[in-house]
Amino acid sequence: MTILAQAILNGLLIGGVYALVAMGLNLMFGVMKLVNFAHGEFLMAGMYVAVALAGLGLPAGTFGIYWVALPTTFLMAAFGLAFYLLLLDRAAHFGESPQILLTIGLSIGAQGLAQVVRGSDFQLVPNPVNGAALHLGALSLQLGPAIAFVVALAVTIAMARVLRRTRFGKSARAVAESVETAEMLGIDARRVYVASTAIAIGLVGLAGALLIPYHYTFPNVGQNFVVVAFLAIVIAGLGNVVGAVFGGLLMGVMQSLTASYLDLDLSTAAIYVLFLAVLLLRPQGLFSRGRRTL
Amino acid sequence: MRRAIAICALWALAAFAGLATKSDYLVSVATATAFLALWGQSWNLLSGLTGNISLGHSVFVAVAAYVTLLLFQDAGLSPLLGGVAGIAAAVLLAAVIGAATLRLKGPYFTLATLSAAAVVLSLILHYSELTGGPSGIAIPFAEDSPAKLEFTNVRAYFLIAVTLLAAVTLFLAFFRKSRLGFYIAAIKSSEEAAAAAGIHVARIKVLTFCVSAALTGLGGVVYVFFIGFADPNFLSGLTLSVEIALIAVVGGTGYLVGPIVGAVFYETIDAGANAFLGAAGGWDVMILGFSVVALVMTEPRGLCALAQGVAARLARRPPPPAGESVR
Amino acid sequence: MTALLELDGIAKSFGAIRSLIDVSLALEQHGIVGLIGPNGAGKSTLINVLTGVYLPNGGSVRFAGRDLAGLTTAERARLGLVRTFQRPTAIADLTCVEGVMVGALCRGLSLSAARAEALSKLALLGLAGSAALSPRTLPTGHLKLLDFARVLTLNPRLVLLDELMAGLSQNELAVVLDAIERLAAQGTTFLVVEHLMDVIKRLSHRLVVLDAGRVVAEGAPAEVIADPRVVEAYLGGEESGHAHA
Repeated sequence: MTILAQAILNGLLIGGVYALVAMGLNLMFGVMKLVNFAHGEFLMAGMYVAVALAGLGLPAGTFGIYWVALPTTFLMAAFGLAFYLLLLDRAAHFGESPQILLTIGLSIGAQGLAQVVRGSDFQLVPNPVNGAALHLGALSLQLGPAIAFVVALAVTIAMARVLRRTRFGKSARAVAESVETAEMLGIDARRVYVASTAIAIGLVGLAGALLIPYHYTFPNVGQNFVVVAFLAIVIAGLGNVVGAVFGGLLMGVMQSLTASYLDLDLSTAAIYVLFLAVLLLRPQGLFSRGRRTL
Repeated sequence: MRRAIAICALWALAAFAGLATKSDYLVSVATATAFLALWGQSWNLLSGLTGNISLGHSVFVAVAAYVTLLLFQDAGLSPLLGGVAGIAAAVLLAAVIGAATLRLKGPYFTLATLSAAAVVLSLILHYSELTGGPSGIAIPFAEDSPAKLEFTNVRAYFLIAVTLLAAVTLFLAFFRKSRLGFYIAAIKSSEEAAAAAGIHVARIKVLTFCVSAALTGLGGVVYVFFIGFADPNFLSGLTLSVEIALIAVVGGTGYLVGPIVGAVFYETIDAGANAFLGAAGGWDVMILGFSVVALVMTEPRGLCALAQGVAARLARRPPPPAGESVR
Repeated sequence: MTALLELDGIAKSFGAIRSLIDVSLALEQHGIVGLIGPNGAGKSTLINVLTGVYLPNGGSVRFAGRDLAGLTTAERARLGLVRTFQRPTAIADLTCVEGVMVGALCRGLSLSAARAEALSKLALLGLAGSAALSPRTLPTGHLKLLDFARVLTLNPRLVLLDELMAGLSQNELAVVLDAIERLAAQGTTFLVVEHLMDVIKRLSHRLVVLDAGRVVAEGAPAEVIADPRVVEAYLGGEESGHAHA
């Protein structure tokens, strides 16, 4: 029983980061219908940025390393802005294959770049959060993942409000529903695209900053997260931003549960089989009803 | 007919160049290029012609290779016969995956193929008594023997690879103008309209998937003997699946020689970066990735369209109409 | 003689929207039947139910004495029940004649026989000159004709024309109307959905009016058009700003 509870708890905590990665991925898909295969490399970039910032110095105290979170988020959002303006703006009308090619090319190139600039070593900034745990009776709570989980939940609530209440959110939902209709209503779709990309990449940057206290940074690190995030958004329903969070948490729990009871290879297989089952039985996703978007 | 002659001429030229090349290393690179091009062609048959983008095609390489290799190793069956069984296994898997996933659209189909390949990879890794697990299977070299697909001289593999590539390209040239080719073109433009014209859309899509898997598997059978080693993480990995799709789109899915051009582009950059900047350090990967980005931004329809556009500009004619040929 | 097409109590709803409520209709072999009605009357839904794109919530469709339940669009097409599209897509990777051949190929013809068949149908619709071109170069009106030619190569018994004529020039219209009348005289049945009233009046032997998911009138064109219920159906449509006739 404790094993089960611990596995679920671990899964939820891992799922926090998945949720942040998946949310941005789904925002971009929902608004632009673009599957960003380079999303994992933006996570990787966010982690390197956060590690570099942390290298400038850490304030005293257990949570000192988290000062990098906000600067990383904004730096990565600016990076997302550049990503949109330099590449996606032109690629918007390319069609599916060239867009996939573009983001895959970017993903490969960025991994190479990281290796060239920073080497293939695994990097970890020594900090007090790493390895620290809280104890709740028989259960133990890893501090780093727990903080990431809490932040992910807060960001989700904030995103849900942004999408519901703000002008950007309303425009984004209209664009996700139909670009033509949105433009007839006087919404500038391009501005929505720019903002969505910046937010999505900012979120993945935040995920990177939350990861570095307890997770190694290396050129291919994004791959471990992005594939899971892909599965999460399909399970949640493509384009369903808030649902993506639950998809991320669910993937974390499934990964943790299968890993506790099966050996590593079979647990991977089990996750993909579950994913395929959802895909085939409920292609609109578990958390989406009909045509609801974002 | 002119296409067929051109393909045969290119084949003869490539074969001659391979035999005349002194460096074993260069011939190996060329052989790997030919295999990649062969897989790109097979991928293009499904994804380029029907618009369903698969990112799991390496699974057919792996299944065909493993079945052939296991029959060879455990039952002593010649890969020439075992290969047939290997290809049949790939086709069977494609029929199962295809029947389940081909009704999915766009990114759903893409992620489903990726997942199916990941499941097969995990199973290969897990059942290690049979498959050797993550350490794979090495093929011990005994003697030069065509029946065992074992050759000391790498040029033998090169000849087989370019011959297969030429044969598959020739097949595709005729396939596009065949009954099935017409059906597929109709399905690509609109499944609803294709059904209204009497085409059994689901059946034709699964059939196309199977043909594509068979050709991919064909490459896999010979490739594993060329390398002499079955590495599951390579043969059934996401990296190979992505490479296959990448080179086909880089060359241009609307062109018969697209995947060949894409494979040559890819391997040239790779080998060039390795030669001048060293195999370690990530230079090759970085240059490859960013060249792909640069290419898409200049000409999203790929290298062939780029070349056509340049040629048209040189001849002061308007470039071909920008159109749907890539989608 | 039994009817070629018999609809009995067809109903189709999408969630809370009842697109077809109770459509019963019999089409005899031979002849051209016009199907009119204001936008939203259910004409497109009916075509989609007939071709098996939508499963009806109730009722049955019999074609040439056979219940069509459970048959796919393609199987219905091969039985001789075909349709054209309001907004057809060009088969970009094929030439016009190759795209038209597809229907004949599905009928089991060889490539060369199918090509000959396709060329004759293109000639019938006045498109012989475009045979070797890419359809991407053609205007939308011609794409509709290609679509029409394609299903004609299936040797259909019943053709559902979904606003085929809108957007054609006067000359093209004359050729197409002539072709339809000739095919009808040879035994092909047509169900023509069209907003161009003069075309409908000229072409139809019989007229069926659909409104709000029901057949509200049917009979000889002149009588039906004078029918007060039909006038009301259209005026009703006009008040909500949707009249097209």
